Amino acid sequence: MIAEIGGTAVPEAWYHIIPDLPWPLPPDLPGGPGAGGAPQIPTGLVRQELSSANRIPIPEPVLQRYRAFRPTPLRRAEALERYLGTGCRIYYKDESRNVSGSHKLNSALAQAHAYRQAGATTLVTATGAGQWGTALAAACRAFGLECRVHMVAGSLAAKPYRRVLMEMLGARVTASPSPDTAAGRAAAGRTPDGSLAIAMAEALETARGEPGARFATGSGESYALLHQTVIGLEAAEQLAVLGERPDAVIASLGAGSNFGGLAGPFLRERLTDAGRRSGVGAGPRCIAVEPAACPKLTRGVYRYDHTDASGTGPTQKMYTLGHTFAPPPIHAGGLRYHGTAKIVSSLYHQGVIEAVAYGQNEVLASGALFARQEGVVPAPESAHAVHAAIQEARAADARGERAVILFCLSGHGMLDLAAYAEHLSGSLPDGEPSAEQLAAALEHLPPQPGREAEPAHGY
Amino acid sequence: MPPKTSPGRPDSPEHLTRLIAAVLLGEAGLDPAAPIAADAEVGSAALPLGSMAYVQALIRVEDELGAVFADRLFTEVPAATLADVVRYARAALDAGNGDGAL
Repeated sequence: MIAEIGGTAVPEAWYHIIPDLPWPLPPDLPGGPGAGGAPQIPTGLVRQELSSANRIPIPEPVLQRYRAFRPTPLRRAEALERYLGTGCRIYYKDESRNVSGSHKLNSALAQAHAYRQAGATTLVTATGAGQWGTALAAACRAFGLECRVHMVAGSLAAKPYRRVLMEMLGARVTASPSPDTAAGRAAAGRTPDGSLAIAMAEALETARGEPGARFATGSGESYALLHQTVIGLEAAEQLAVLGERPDAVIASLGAGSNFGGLAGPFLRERLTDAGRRSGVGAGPRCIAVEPAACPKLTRGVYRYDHTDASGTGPTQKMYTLGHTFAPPPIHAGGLRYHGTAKIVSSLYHQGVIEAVAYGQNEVLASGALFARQEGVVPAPESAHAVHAAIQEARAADARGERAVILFCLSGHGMLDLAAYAEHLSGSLPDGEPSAEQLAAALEHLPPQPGREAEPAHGY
Repeated sequence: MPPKTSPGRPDSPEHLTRLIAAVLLGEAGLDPAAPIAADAEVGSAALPLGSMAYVQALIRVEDELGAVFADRLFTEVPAATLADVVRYARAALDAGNGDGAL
């Protein structure tokens, strides 16, 4: 069923979580050798990130474009509930209903608008599964910018129609690693399938070499999380209309914008005095779901690391598997990133949020179950959240609780059917990095600054 | 912490250079009053700023001066020196606090 959303509207402001954090975020540090060049991020986006206000007005040109596809539906997964025989109520926020097929358009529009205002003529980016590249292509089209996309080669081979869609929207798409950049040539021999970190290094290099071009990042920066909070803000209002309050909020974790966008507005209850005084207690549990093949929260370390494979991007404190770590070529390409957004990393370090990791076959089995019961094919990334929601429902049933579970269906999987085909045929491997592989990648972390560790607040 | 600088429009070229240098040095975690060459490149050992810190520093300068120039500098000068930053800031001020023409 579609929840009653008649009383809700598109939020006119994003929720900025940083001013509500009771602790400071560790500062970014310069990139490694070769990092030179002008900053890629426009001041407009950084001003959003630096703001001390926890409510950032959405620029009117962005809001106008949001209104073409927002508010997105909040649905109750009643057929799935019946199939599971659960006493829980499972809701999902459907972010698949726009041309990009995913939540990524929320930030792509905001970024394209800011870059346009800063004088950029071309945006260059990296994309894993292709949702971000598609979203940025659409956003560039909306704001009159050229678009270049470096897409992870393994993902591009698995989902060729992503390229068609991006090119249809006017983008130029290159498989990464490519022979066009030094970063691509360096990686081609050892990682022919590519990784998001390699594609980011190529995109940075391309942007630095082209007048008027700027690099746009998809998920990891704090402003990308900010833009995605329209998801959580809408969901909270839609649930309130139904008289519901979630016990568990669940989203898949790539770099962090999907998770942060859904969970952020719900975390305010726990982080702020005002939220605690409102009488809702500690707020819902917020659970990030990552692939077992790329388990940065559950098996990574909280250290300073580079955001891209070349080591020339900014250095941020994050949960990381090491910027040289190349995850196995799983189908949830959007989750194949070595690091985690610094906000999400800090929340996890402080014990505010939880994390779980699953293998891709169990995830896709839940994705297929969801498609049969609910009539929506989730993207492999989103299937992680589906699977975790099912596990939460079963655990709540075992405890005799009737929990309200909310998850983000961050995108549809209609361009990811090759993943389901492999899963259904039984030919899909479940790759997990060994302890030795993780240790080897972590040997390449940059020197750590001699500053005190971020004190834990015991949340 | 951002360095303490005098607010408003600088009354001399030296004052403007000193103001900008203080902000950049402070953002880099160095003594804002330390001597710095005009040809020191942002991101070099003399001005060890990451790209985000560089943007943040120039936002502080823009706010101090009431002039907008950083995005244009980023677009037009891939590897800026302190002198470049001062030149773009001066142009913005001369153009009347808008996005100054060079």
